[in-house]
Amino acid sequence: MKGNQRILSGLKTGSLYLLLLAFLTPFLLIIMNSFKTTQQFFESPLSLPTTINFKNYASAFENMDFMQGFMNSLIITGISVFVIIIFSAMTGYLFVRYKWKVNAILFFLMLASMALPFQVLMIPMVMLYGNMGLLNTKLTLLFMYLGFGVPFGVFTFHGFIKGIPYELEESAFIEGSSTLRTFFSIVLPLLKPVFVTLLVLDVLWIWNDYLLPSLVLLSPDQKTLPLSTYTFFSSYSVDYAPLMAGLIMTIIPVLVIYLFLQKQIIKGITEGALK
Amino acid sequence: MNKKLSLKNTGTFLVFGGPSIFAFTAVVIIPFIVGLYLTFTNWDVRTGDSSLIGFGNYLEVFRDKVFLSQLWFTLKYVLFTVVIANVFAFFIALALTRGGKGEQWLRTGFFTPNLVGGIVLGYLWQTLFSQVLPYLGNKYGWDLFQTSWLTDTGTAFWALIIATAWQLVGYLMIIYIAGFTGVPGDVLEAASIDGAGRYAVIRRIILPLTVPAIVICIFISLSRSFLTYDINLALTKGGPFNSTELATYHIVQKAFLSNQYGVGQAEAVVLFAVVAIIALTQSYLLKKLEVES
Amino acid sequence: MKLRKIVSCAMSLTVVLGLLAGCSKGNSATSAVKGEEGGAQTQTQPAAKDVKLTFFNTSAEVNTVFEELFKKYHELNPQVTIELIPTPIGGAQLEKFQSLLASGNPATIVNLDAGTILQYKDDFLNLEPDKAKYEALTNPGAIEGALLDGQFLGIPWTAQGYGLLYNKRAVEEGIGGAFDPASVKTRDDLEAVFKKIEAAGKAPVMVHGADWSLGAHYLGLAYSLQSQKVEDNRKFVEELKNGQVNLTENPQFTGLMDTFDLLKTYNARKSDPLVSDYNRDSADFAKGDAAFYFMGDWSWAVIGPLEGRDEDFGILPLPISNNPDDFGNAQVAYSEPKLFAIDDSKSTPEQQEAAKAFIEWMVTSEDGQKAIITDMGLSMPYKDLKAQSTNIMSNAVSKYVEQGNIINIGVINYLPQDYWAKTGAAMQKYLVGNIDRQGLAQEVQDYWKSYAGK
Repeated sequence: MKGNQRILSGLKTGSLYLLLLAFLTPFLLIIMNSFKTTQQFFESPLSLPTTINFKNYASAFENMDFMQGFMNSLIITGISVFVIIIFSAMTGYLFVRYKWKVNAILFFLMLASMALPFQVLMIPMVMLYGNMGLLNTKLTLLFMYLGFGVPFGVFTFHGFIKGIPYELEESAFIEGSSTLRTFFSIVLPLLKPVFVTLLVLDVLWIWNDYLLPSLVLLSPDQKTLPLSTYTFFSSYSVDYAPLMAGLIMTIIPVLVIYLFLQKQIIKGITEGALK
Repeated sequence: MNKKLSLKNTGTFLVFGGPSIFAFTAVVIIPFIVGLYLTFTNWDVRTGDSSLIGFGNYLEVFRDKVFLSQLWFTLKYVLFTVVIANVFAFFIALALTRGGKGEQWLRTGFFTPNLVGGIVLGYLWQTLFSQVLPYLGNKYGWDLFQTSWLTDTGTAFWALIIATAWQLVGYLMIIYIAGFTGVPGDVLEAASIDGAGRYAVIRRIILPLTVPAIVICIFISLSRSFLTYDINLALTKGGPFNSTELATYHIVQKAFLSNQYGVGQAEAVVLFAVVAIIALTQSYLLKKLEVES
Repeated sequence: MKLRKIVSCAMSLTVVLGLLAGCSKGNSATSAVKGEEGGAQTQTQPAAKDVKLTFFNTSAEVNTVFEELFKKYHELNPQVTIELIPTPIGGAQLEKFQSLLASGNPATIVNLDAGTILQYKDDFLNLEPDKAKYEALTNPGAIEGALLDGQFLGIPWTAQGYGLLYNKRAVEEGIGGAFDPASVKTRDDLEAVFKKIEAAGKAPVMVHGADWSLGAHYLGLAYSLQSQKVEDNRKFVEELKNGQVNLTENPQFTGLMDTFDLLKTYNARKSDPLVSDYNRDSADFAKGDAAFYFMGDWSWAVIGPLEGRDEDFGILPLPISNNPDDFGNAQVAYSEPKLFAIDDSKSTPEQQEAAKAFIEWMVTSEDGQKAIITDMGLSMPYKDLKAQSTNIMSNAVSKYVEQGNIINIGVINYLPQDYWAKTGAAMQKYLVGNIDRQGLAQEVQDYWKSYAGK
């Protein structure tokens, strides 16, 4: 009986790993082929590279102007994610604790906006901001990310804050703490799990976003990494080998962030469960 | 007294809501209103002129048989994507909340597809479907993969779903894992032990407890798959012969390639209405379920 | 309580209204500014001599070559800086172009399809004053061919031809002897060659299944073959829009499609015709896996640098009938697909002058010509070139051009921007046998009818 169960659970773990392998196959393929020439890739996409050749990486690094793209992506992602999280946590708190009609309406609008195709906003947006002369600066892009990121942030925090007992804050208020201080000293620490989850999701979204920066940032020295990756796409075809190397270089920074935060997420989640 | 309170409340509103509501209004609401206004005009980027034409563009939308059939196609695509992605995510998350060995690595592994953006993801799968799989199919004589999945109307549909779900599963898994933390450990333990009671445990205990997570996951997967554009562009480009054009793709083509901006924008508004109605209704229904259970 | 609600409502309203006011101000200002801005800015510009130009490029595959040219030009003329606005794949190019225009930030110089320039003709500078100069610089007919509705809006810089490319080694191995391209004058001649090649165990022809190739290049010939005059071809398209044409009774269309049936039968990609990977199709042809390839000389950009490719290539006209004298059987399709145009909606006169000077430098200087001919592998319709082309295919096309044996496909500049995508989809259906000839003709006619009166 026990042996049976062990086999069963072994089987289950095994199938989980198999599924994982299937999940990761596309990535393994990119890594493998990033060391080949485009031609070798076409001829035998599945064979292991015969030599470890970093030529693609070098040429991708140079053609993409990797460092500049990296710095731009870092600045934009870093600041906008920080701003989105802080402000949406605050707004989420406002919406949960103050049941005014205007809050309910705004929350509904934010929810609804998550179903809005970006293409609806595209032209009016560039029209308005372009005519006010606000395009081509990182600041506008940051502002736009705040506007687009807030609905999902508020939505996530809203659900979580609802579950926090009001008594905790109440005692702080009785001691004469201001709303702002209560929020930062009592509520915010409790939000850590959502904080981290949102951080990861927003970093991924902004780090990989293509369309918005392509519309807002016009000059080449402002390019983010996804914009530079397009060096390898031409009108009719794709230069696969350096593209794959470039992709890997773009993925690595987020992968590092994710691996680093992975522990935090789980810690945060378990902490949340203890409460 | 009253005056002081309202002043204080206004202050709270401005401090807590000010920046995000301002940005949200300036970036989403106002462009949306302008966009809505444009659907009632014959605005053309080529000339920049516009004059009001009433509901002409909307009439055109309902005369556009292609758009209507693509809306139907999108609905089918969304239905399958949402179901497949959620079922996979739910069970993977369930299997990965037991504190077993290597759990962290497995979680990371399943989440990795989210590290790449939509267009890249589309190209990745495009290469896989049109180069790698046919290569294998021909080498080993597997009928299923002898020709590219992207050149047949039926299989291209599934290719699109697989590529979308592949990314969504890891994303939803995280939310489900977070949701399961509200479920007591011994219940999860019971669900992981095979036997007659297992599915009853999942259905009677775990499901009701994770309704909030399910609401979020379905809402997210619904809106994300309805708005799929990048993957569509990079994977199938709407082909073969426009048979896999999702609604957003069609809208972009209409507005920017066919130069019927007003009609495209009106179609986007219609799409928005469809998505909003479906997403909000499902949230409402599931929430009701949550209260009842 | 009530007051609180009202105040908070009012607050949010003011925010919204304030923003709206700001925006509408911005809006009305720009619509009025269109004419004025040039003047307003001239007052500030002359003080600062530095000029910044932006360059919108839709030939994305040669982005880096252009960037090198910008750098070089900046070294020669330090006061002029040029920035590239690169474009992504496919339709997104037009989105980007339109959003730049809508936002009031159009690029100073664009490298666009002639047809797109025509669509936005009001936004581009009329280059009439420079016409004579360019007529002297270019091959006879080159400027004439670049005129859009009689106006000189864009400067041609590259010329492309297409037809049936052939891989000499593959063809000769297939037919077992020397191949004389002049021996193929009719469809039957071509079929005989195909048969021999197939009998020798080779794939006769590569049909690239992408919508742009099938819709714009293949089916596009149906409009251009109607007459040698672009004017007549435009009339034909008008008749199509008005529903006056029955394609199945049109000899050019049926001839073209009969030949397509032939290509279809002998297609190297017969088992999966729509995979259409441009790199791969080109590479397989260049290595002799297919003897013919329906494509143009631009494919040299892929084929030229390929390792292990064959050496000798040529081009044949696509025979559309069995009468050697029919128009099209001895001619290859030829056009100037991309033009350099200068923005006239927001750019200052200084920018426009600098843009003109830069374009002239690109097409006449040794540096520019080398970049275009050698690095991009394109051919230039200019006289006294200072660089030698290594593009065997465009050299082959040039022979037809010199003899005047070309099909002027200028009519495509006047077609709507989505014609290739829509009719290309119909061609794809036909290629995989999803619809028959009648169905194809019907879909194409229906597409054109949707443009009736537009």
